[in-house]
Amino acid sequence: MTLFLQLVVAALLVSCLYALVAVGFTMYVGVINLANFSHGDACVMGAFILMPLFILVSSLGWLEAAGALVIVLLFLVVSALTGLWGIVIYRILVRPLLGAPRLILLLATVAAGQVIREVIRVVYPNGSNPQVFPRILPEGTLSLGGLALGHDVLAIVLVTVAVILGLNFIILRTRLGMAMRAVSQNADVAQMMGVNMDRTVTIVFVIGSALAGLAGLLNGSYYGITKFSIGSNLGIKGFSAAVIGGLGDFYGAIIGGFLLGFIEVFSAAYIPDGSSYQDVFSFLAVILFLLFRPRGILGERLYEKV
Amino acid sequence: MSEPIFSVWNLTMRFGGLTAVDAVSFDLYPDQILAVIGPNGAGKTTVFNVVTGLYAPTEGEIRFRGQTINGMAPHLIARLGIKRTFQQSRLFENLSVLDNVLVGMAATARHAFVRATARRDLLAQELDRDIDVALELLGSFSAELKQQCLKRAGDLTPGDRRKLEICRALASSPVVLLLDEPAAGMDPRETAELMDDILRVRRLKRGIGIILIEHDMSVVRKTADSVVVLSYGKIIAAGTFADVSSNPTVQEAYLGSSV
Amino acid sequence: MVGGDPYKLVIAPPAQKPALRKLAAVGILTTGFLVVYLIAVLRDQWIVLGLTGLAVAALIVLDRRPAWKWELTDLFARERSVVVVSAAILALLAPLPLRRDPYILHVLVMVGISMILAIGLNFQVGSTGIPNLGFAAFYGVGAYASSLLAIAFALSFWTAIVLAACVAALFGFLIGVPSLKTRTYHLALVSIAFGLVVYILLNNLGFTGGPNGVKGIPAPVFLGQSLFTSVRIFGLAYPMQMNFYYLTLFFLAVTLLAAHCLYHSKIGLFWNAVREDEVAARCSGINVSTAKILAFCVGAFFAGIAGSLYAHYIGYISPENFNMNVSLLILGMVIMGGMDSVLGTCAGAFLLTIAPEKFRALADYRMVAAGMIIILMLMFRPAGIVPRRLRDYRHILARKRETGAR
Repeated sequence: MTLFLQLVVAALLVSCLYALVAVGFTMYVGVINLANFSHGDACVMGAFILMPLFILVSSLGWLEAAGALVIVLLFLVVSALTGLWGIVIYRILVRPLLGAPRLILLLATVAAGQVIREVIRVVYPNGSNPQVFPRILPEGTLSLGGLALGHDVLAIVLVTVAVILGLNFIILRTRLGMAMRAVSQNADVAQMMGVNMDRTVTIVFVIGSALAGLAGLLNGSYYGITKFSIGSNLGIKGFSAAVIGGLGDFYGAIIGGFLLGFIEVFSAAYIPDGSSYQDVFSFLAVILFLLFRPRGILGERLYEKV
Repeated sequence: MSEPIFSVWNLTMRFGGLTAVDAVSFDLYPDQILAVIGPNGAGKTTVFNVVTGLYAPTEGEIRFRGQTINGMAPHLIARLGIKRTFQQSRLFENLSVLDNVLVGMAATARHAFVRATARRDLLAQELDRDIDVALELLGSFSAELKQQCLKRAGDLTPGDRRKLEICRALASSPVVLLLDEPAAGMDPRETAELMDDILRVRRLKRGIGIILIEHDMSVVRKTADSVVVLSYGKIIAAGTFADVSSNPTVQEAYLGSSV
Repeated sequence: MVGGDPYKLVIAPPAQKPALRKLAAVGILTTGFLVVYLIAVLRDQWIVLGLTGLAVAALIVLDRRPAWKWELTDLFARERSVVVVSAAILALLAPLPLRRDPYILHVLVMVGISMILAIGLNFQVGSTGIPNLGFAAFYGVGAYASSLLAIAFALSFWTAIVLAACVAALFGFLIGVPSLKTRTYHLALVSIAFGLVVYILLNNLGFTGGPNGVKGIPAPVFLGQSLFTSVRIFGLAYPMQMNFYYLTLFFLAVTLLAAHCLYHSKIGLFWNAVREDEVAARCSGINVSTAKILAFCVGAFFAGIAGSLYAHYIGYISPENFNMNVSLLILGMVIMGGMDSVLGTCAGAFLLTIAPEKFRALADYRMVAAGMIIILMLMFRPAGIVPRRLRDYRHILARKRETGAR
């Protein structure tokens, strides 16, 4: 029983990580119909921005002074910096290509992801090798009747919940959120109604990239290790989760992330020799969804207007 | 009175909770032009979509030459001889005018795929003949269209686009032709040309039945033998144009109150 | 897209002096070939850069002057047989000066294999509009099938390659069927997922050798001679890479022929119709499902051929050779070269295979440069190096004009 609960905890954790990536990804799809394949690499960027900052901060002695506060600050700074990257990639890469066929944009984002990956590898000292990620999440374990809940797990779950609630608020309760929803329904009409499309999409990119940075950060801090090349895998998992939940749907991405996380953890545990194949199960799940319910769990059935 | 070549009986189409088409029935006879009119959103295009196989009807029956074609795949329905145009012209944008018509011809030829791998010299003769037929069809519609046969379809003027779409549909000598708002966005001159084109099609292609969705009443009055009026998915009137236009229910549906 | 009135040009009388035209066509072809050849072969960075600049300038000039481009394509189309024969001769002679350069010969072999791959993917992405981001899976299936069959059953390369291509085509069918119901994004994801599943399976299944791959793949044997032995021409010894150059050239020729036939057949036209507007294609009578599955199978077939060639050339394969980066690279070749344009696709394959070699001087920054080039190309020339053209019926129409006039 405890094993089962332990697995649930692990699955919860993995789900949070995937959900964060998926939400960012699905935002791009929902608002401007863009499949951004550099999203996973933006996550890795977040992790690789944190590491030197952490070294800086600990060498300045700030950690001893106000540990938790500094960590929170680091989180915010990294998210902000990756958010800035969102502006860069929107202005330079995406905006000029918005009118081009979708496949071209897709390939452009793929190339951008590759550039991010390679720049990290080249610029970061010893970049080709896996990097040890600093332990920035709280240590310690909470014991609940035989169940071990690491404080780091709790932290990640809390951060994820906070982010989701925050985004939910933005989308449902703010003018920005309304603008985003309007643009995702019909960009032309939204502009005619006075929505500043450029500003709205820029903000979407900022939020999406910041989410990526945060996700990468949490990913690294949980596993304790990161490498320049994990971006593509992470991005694909995020994409898969978003698809399972329904592309373009915010809540769908969360549900998709959870489904994917649970499938992965439980198939690795219960299917013999499962862990080496665990990715196969996730992808098979995705394929099954695409075959039998391509709109995803929460996606609307789109009747193509003939 | 001959047998109808195409008939629809109790056709109903539901999308989730929305009933787009509700127990619609009508018959189409050879050499007949039937107009389907009604306010926007009445379900006219949906009827087209269902009878061409893009959606399977929720209820009802569609018969073509005595054969039930419910739920048949769209390409098979097309090969039987039912062709259509679309409200927003769906041309093969990056193909030439000539290629658009050639597709219309080739796709309905028998054993299309087997022929595709035939020897090149056989194919060359066939291609030659096909191009002759295609050019003649284009020419009979518009000399300009024939002149522009190698032009990219996406670069055509709106009027030419519509003509090309009709040509593509006619390329395989269909028995039933469905035209979805062919006069939309046309100026009076183009509309007059269109009416002539439709009537000419009926003259040239003996036995063809044409179903026309239209809003432009001048086109309907001039070309239609029989009119069916749809509102909220239901037929509210049927008959000749004179019958239907003086029907108070129809006037209310279109204009909001009896005139 | 085309300047001037195409129909009017058809009405113009056929050009005079056929011998002069043939000479002009061969001349232009040879010049172009030489430029490309030197770019591939020379090591001096500056000359290569200069020649590339020349080629780019030529492309830009042709773009700005559509009438010249029209004349050029017209010339090449009319003198097609001469052009093809000359191109064949040039291709056959190309490796001869490279006796002391086995590395360049190796690069040329890889260019050839890349071209076959790119043409295969072009059937799917370019002609039919299917966004396949997992093409390397077919490549890998072909390579592994060929190697494992050749080793396990002591088959000759020639048997193995045919079988491998068929196995790859079967996988094409397997991925094609579920793809029929899915639309663009989802299709892209299914293809990614498929590519990854194949990669993971190759990495984990016992009989594929896992991450260590397959070693000791037997060399092809032709006329009793293993292609791994160097050959002597006119008493001069040539490195064994040259054998594989000709082997690859042979299969490339087969692929080009197939691409040409398919493009000009009804299937090619249907594929384009499906790409342009699936609904209209359906309602015109095209069995879109069959068309798509065929595209999957044909594309996969040629990927299988390329895979087999690669395996028996290098002698060793591992799952890393067929990962997602490879899929995306092949996709880049097709998109950058020019979708649905065989010449363009070959140009893209050439570019993306040669460029990393030429950038070796940049060492670590190689991949960054490659990524940047792709981005720049997509932004400034999204149609590709050699954009696709409309089907050219000018000659048939001209002939009709002539017979009609009499």
